[in-house]
Amino acid sequence: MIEIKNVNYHYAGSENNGLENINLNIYDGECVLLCGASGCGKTTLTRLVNGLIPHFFKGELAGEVMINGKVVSQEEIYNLAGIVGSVFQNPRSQFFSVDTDGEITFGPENIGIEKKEILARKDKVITELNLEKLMNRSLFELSGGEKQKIACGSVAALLPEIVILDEPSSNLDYKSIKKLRDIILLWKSQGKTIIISEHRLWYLRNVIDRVIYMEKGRIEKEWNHEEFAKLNAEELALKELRPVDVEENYINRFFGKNSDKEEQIYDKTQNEPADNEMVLRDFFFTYHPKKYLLFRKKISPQDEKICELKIPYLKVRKGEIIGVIGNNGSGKSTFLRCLCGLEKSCIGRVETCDRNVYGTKLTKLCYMVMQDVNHQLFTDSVLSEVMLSMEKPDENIADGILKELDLFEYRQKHPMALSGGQKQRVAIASAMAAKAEIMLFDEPTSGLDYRHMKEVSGLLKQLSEQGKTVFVSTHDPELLELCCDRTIRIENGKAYEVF
Amino acid sequence: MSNERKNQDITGWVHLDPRSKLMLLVLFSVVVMIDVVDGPAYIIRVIMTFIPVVLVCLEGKIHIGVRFTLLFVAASWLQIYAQKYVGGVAGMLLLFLCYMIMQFAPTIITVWYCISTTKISEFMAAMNRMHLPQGIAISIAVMMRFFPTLGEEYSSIRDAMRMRGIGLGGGKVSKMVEYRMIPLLFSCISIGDELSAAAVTRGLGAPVVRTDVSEIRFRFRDYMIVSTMLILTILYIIFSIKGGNVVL
Repeated sequence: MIEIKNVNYHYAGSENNGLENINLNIYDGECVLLCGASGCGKTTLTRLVNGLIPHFFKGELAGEVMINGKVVSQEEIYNLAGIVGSVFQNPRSQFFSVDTDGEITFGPENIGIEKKEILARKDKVITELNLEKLMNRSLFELSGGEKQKIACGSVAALLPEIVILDEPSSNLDYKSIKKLRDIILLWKSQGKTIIISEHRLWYLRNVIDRVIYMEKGRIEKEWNHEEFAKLNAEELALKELRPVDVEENYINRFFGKNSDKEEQIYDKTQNEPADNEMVLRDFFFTYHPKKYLLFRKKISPQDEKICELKIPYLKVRKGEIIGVIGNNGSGKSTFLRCLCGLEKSCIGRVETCDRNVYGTKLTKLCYMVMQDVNHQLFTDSVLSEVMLSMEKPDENIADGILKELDLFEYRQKHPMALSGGQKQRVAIASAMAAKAEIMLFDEPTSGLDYRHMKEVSGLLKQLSEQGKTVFVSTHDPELLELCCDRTIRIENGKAYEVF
Repeated sequence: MSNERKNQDITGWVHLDPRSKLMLLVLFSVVVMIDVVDGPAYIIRVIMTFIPVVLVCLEGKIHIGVRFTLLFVAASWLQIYAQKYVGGVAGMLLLFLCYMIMQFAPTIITVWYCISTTKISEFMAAMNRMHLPQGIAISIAVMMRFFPTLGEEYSSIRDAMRMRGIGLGGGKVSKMVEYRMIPLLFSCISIGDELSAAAVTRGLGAPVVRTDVSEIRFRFRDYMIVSTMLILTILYIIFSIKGGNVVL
């Protein structure tokens, strides 16, 4: 049993994400969901249980956390390793090995379990979680969903009684989320205590026993399973939570089940684009071209067989917001990368009524806001970040753009000191300064709560009103609903129009 | 991802013991440190340079081996040419460039070979056998784990720079470095933090004797390669002392 008594906590040097007056008992075999807006303290609460607070993150802790009668703050963290297992949000930064086998045996090796026993556990975990296909591979080649499965396996090999999952689905697609749910159900049937902190609620509806809603570091409300499943979208939206119910319709969209409602996009008419239209032509690409010694050959439509992306023709209206959906590895990100000119061997081009843009010139026409926006902020102030994108730096224009995006008050701040949403807006500001006409967003809402998701959709609409064409790749049906004019599903590199 | 890559064994089929690779690296650094430009010592040096290249080719990365060979041959030829026919500052620069390639390219390819074909668990096992303190072994293991991550991060930053059209930093070298380093440092710090949090929740650093599941042992090919390299290194040192390159 986990007992949390009168806990108050503040991170050292930060006012945010602290906890106030938390009292909570979690019983053996229970499956508890922690939800609430970003910064409500749900991640902090999970850290109390796995011992990262106070052993790893420094701060002021008052009160007591006990697991099976032992006080967490007085145990060494390696003694907790065999009791509490943790799966984290970011699949790429939670594995220690470079190969999948080593990762699963990593935990048991650390705590000095006998070799025979480790190998037996490894085999058991592999069968239970269906990891056979992932064995003996480099972790760096796996998709996010596959990495997350390995992380689950690595935790399971330690045979913990308690499993903690901190926003485990943030970077996963629909299929992987369902697999993750299967793993959680398996653990539940094995009698493990499970604590999940999460924004995406739909996949957990029939998994959890109890829901704890947090706000500003306090526990505000508790629902049991029946009460929670009955909550409708409005009640949840009031609490800034995402819907519990994701309509069948969306699920089918993501899995492409209702194929009568979609069709592949062909070049039927060979139409030239009209005034307010653009045509994307010949987007073919492969990551595994024929072996070459010195120079990579350009990929043409004739190479279609080996291509991972094959979109010969796509017509869009200027100012349209186009949702791009599809499972991980279907070619979504590849499409965005080719469209903004990052893949040199792609011969795709964008035609408008008066221009024909291709090759590296696409980088001028298109701008991608990356999933990890930290990669695209280079300077030491928001203002210079925007000025950097301008051909002729003009402070007045830059200020105008910043005002439009509510960033004016932060103009002298360091971009890295801003919140995630603000960073995203800085990236958008620099795209506007560069006069990009097509804006690409790579999963802009992964790991965001409902309020921030609405903010992002508001921004996308704002861009479209200014005449920018927006492509947004996403796994969130809620976002499609909020702002997309049309939806394209990419499967095996081919584009399908979804109606 | 294609199926052949899916089933690829990380360690490759040569599968040297991590300790042999470590030996390879140590001997190689000795050779690189002593600078020789001609005579029998130079021939030995070239032979030693191409041992790792052969190993890389044996792992099926023939294109990398060929590219390296071309680069190396071109650099050596250019060096001779520049010495004879190009004078002045241009000649100096050219010589310097060739020298850098000849000095560093072999080391880089050896290090790359050793790291990319070693599993962390094997490496930890090797360190354990050599009775190295766990602290040192963990630090080196973290570094090995970090190289591919650095590569991934760096390539997304480079993409972002291409999109902004600032790949050349507006012509300023300082800006070129700054734009690359700042995002790289920030993302490395956050990844490092998350990585260590994940590792400590899995019991890394527990004061117990760590179990090693990986089987590591010296095989015939390990003895072959290590002894060849050892003999070559000794010969190299003898020849360079005789040739007056090293003053004792």
